[in-house]
Amino acid sequence: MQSSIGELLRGSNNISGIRKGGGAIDPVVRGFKFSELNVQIDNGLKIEGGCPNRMDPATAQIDPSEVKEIEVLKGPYALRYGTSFGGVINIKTMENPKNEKFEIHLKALLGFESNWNGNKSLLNINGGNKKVFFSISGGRKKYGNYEDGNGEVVKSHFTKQNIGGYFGFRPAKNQSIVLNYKNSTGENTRFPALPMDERLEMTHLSSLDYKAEEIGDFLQSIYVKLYNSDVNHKMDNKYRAVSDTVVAVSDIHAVNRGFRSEGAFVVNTAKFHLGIDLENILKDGQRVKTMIKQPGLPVKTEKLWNNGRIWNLGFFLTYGQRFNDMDLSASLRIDRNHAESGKISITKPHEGGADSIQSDFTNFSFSLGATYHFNENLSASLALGRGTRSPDMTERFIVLLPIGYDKFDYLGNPRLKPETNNQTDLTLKYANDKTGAFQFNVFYALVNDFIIGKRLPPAEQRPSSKGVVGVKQFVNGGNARFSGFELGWSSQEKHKLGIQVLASYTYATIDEIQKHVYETGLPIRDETILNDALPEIPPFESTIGVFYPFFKGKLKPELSVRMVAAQNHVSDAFYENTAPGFTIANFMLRYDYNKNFMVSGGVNNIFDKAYYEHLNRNVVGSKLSLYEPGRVFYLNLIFRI
Amino acid sequence: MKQIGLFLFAVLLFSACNKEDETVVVQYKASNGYSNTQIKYRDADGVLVSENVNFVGGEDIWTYSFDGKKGDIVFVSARYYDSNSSITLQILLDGKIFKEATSINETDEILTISGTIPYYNE
Repeated sequence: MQSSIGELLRGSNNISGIRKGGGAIDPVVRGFKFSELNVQIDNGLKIEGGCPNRMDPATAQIDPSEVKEIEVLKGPYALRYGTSFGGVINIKTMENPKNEKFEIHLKALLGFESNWNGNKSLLNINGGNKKVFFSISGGRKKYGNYEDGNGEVVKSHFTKQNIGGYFGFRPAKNQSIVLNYKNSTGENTRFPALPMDERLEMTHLSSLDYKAEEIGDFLQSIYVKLYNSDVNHKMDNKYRAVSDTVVAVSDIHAVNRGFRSEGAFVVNTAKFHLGIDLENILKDGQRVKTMIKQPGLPVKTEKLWNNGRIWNLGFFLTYGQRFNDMDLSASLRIDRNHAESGKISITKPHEGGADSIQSDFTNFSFSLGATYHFNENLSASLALGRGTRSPDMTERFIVLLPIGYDKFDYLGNPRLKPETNNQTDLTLKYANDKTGAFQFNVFYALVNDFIIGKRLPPAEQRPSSKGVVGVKQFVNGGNARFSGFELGWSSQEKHKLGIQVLASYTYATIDEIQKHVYETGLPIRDETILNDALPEIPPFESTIGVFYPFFKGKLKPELSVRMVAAQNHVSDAFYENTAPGFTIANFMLRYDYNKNFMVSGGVNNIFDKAYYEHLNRNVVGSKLSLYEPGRVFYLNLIFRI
Repeated sequence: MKQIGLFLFAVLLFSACNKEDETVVVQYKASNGYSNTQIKYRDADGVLVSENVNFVGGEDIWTYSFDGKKGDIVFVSARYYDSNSSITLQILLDGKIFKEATSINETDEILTISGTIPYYNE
């Protein structure tokens, strides 16, 4: 079992992650990341992380042991779940059992990982009958610092606790109401690739779901979800040497509340979903700097966000129909987006200016898809989509923080325009009893008004953070292009020997970008580069997994080998480093002793390889990337009654 | 089987309740002074307090103690105006010296020692 959802997703085809510390790996899908991805919990609950450096992305708020299923919808095609630009990640944690008699079950998990002395425990009690159902969980994880393959200690420790549950009842046949609450607490989490560490993260997630199914021939179902997510994020530099001079503590409060409602209709053989969703984000935070070396102990308070607010109201309509050999689908979405903030100044951020900080946009998104079934084994799909997203809270309103890949303070831009992804996907699928199942996909995405940082001249804006070389402001930087493929093959299920092969690649460029030329560490002029690589794009990689079940499937060993190519197509404008390729091997053994007791164990990075992913951020104060853990032995005991 | 379940339940409860002690006894100490000295320190509530202490001889000692928490800022400074004087400042955490500095015949300088109470040895 992985220590975070980001790590879990990293095993999927063309999904990577940005590592900045021990936990909280931020997912990247086909090179799209951050707000380009629509990450949500249980069909619509959205979370606005507090940290400007994304120590706490939405994927970090849920423990992997709580997850029932993760749905990843790549591309701007699925428009039912909110604005879709690079893809949707829907993390499902709830089940809706319908037991004839009242039943109660218990699940307990104890896990241990060597190398970073990781301990985790989880207790879940769930049950119900036809009328009511419930689940209550509590879990704790405590991981220390890990050693990489070179034996170097990476300061990456973290402690995380999750507690929560849901209660549901069925007021009538085919109707359900579910009340859900989760609390996640993170403490003393180290991020060696960021200028601060997370001292305390307190997240409250709550939602109320209503679902009615099998209503009639025309109106088939209704779904309504109300949600609230509340994140308190506190971080500081107290683990860092610089805190001997200046102690900086940032405190941020972020709220995301909204709803989603849809109805499913059938007209002849066509199925429609018509719905509305609202997302309302509120964010406020400050950084307090105490100059502890100075006699009067002066304290300086700086706003990171000043009561920023973004709301997005969306209407959507989807269509799906199956003909003899053809499936057709289409989606349409209209978003009205409004953003505002308390008084901030972009040109003199800490002097309280009065720049225009309000913006309103109406965005149109649509997608079309067709799948042709040549026969029962072979099908081909073509999808075309246009997804538009408005700039996020950071891109609009952040006030001078080093949040990017490079060593610049970043400044928000309230005048940013939305960016639009125009994408097409072609997918071929072939499956039969002899050869197994193949899937091959190619994609091409043209992004208009791509949002990226552009350097401001020092005369216009000076940085506010230590160790940075200047200030960049978010701008619409023209067109960017993403293309690539995914390939998958899994052996036929009837054979005991199971083999799975995955391979993927993404190539991404920006049409035109400014490169800042340095002399003696300071930028002196800009040069224009055409078709430069975009930064933080994963290289080609392939994974081969082999498993063979023994004793009627009770004992299942599995070996996987992951081969990642070097990344030499790197951003010249961002002075991005190339990354060497690597190969790692993992082994897992799972044993189901009986229906109550299961043991799984194994070893990751068997050969203790010293390696880092291309997307891992650099360690602060060095040009070295953050290395991945060396060899890790792990053992999980799972008990169910 | 139920007993095993209860045992695991107890283990989990125990592990979830295991909380590290965050309290640290902080002591500021000034010594080796020979004249009237202005001492400023950050108190238990985070307020900067100023006191004038008249050191008659080298054996006079001024102290201030409070219960601090890991991560708290600790700060003490001293200034004297007699060019024949001196001062030694110490910050002790749970009785052990955390920071220490001495000033001798430096009337133009404000002696300052400070830091944050460490969370734990990494």
